[in-house]
Amino acid sequence: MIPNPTTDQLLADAARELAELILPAVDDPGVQVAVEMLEQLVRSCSVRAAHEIAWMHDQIAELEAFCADAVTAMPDAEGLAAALTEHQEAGVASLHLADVVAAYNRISDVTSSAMEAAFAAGETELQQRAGTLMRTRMELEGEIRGEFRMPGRG
Amino acid sequence: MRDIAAMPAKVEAFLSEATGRRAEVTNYELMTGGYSRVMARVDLRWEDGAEETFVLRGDPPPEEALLHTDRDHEWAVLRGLTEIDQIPMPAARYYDATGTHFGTKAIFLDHVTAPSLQGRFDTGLDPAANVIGLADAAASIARIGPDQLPVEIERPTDWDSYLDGVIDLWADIDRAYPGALPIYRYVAAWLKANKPPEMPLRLSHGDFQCANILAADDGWQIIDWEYAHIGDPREDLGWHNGYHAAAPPNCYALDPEGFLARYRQQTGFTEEQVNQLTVGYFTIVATVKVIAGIATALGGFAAGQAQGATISFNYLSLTFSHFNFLNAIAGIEAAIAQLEGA
Repeated sequence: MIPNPTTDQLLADAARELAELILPAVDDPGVQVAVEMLEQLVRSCSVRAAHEIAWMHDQIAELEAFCADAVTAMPDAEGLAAALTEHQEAGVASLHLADVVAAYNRISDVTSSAMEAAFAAGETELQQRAGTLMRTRMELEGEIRGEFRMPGRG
Repeated sequence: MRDIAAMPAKVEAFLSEATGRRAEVTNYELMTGGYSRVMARVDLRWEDGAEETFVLRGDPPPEEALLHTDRDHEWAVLRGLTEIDQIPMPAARYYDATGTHFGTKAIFLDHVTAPSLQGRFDTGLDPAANVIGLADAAASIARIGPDQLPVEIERPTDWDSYLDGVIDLWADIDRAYPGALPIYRYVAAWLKANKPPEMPLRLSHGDFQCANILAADDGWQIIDWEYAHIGDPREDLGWHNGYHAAAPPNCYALDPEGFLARYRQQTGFTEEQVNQLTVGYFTIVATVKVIAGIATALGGFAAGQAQGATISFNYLSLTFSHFNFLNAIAGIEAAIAQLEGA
């Protein structure tokens, strides 16, 4: 492997060339829209390449803590404890992206069930923590998205 | 519809069958501006010498479709609104309901030569001077009740079950997606726990935003009715607010109290029903059908069943919508807390 330039550097430069070199040379309005979309996509992939495994790893731990507290507060919530146990037993198989994504999706599903149970049970503290967790997720999505435009809408 | 060489003859054959009159297509060109439908401008001359220009709307090939909507439904809405003539919009003229002529069901509408209101803002029109005009346009839609619309358009049984059904769609997005989207389950749970005062069911445009208003010199015309339905009229206000947070200018946000006072005056709705908090609530609610369509298409991409930047780009659009939803919830919670503390 040649780790440098890093994947995020390579993708960021590809995004720059799309915006600065290719887009100005395109006359077809439909292709212009596609190139503008591709530039934003490639730029976001640059951020993901740099951080997404670490971000998902950190979030898995936070979501697990929330779900564990939800199980303690709502021991009768249907299937919640079993789903959390199943997730914990499966763990994160490796640092390959597919394995981290699988674990992240699994604990996110358990979190969804825990949040629904918290609203149904009127557990206001858990509801507030759920909101905070979702805002953390949203903030990471914002870092990935960067400057956002809707090409072709005018 | 994209075969520019073949389409003039197909249009002529369809119109001859539909009207009994012969027409010569003098120009056929594809239009851009929307992500969801294939559209073309059709200029033609009838056998008596009269000239007309139409917009032809059909479906893209299934593998390219970002959003799936029903042309039969859209035609029913357009036909009904053309007949009652209470909303400024291009008249619906003809419909190929079978798709045999063009390879897709296709609708003919009168063509209006005008830039969109969004385009006019982008070239210098003052948004602040158009707040009242937008309130009037929204009110013109909200005044239409279910009894004025064709029977083909689905009628909810009551407001409460209608809203529950819409909220349930949020959780369904996550359950159908090939991956987890817990934000939607959180949103659904929050919406059910915080319902606003009830409203009469009315027509809702479903995509009420400035790119769907043609700003002609002699008045505005509202277009793109594919998401129109009978629902809560505040859905259009919420959608408008949320959409233009992403695509400025947001005329509503420039003067929300002025906008809402005018809207209430034009519709007869009360301040308890229509206020900044309820618009904030429906900023979230109203988005669900479009978000579900985008998530379905993106899910197809994730599963390897679809391709193209038009679809994959929407993973960014979805995250922008998450920003809007969660900020709206935070804003409503803060305002409620302030009211309760006052």
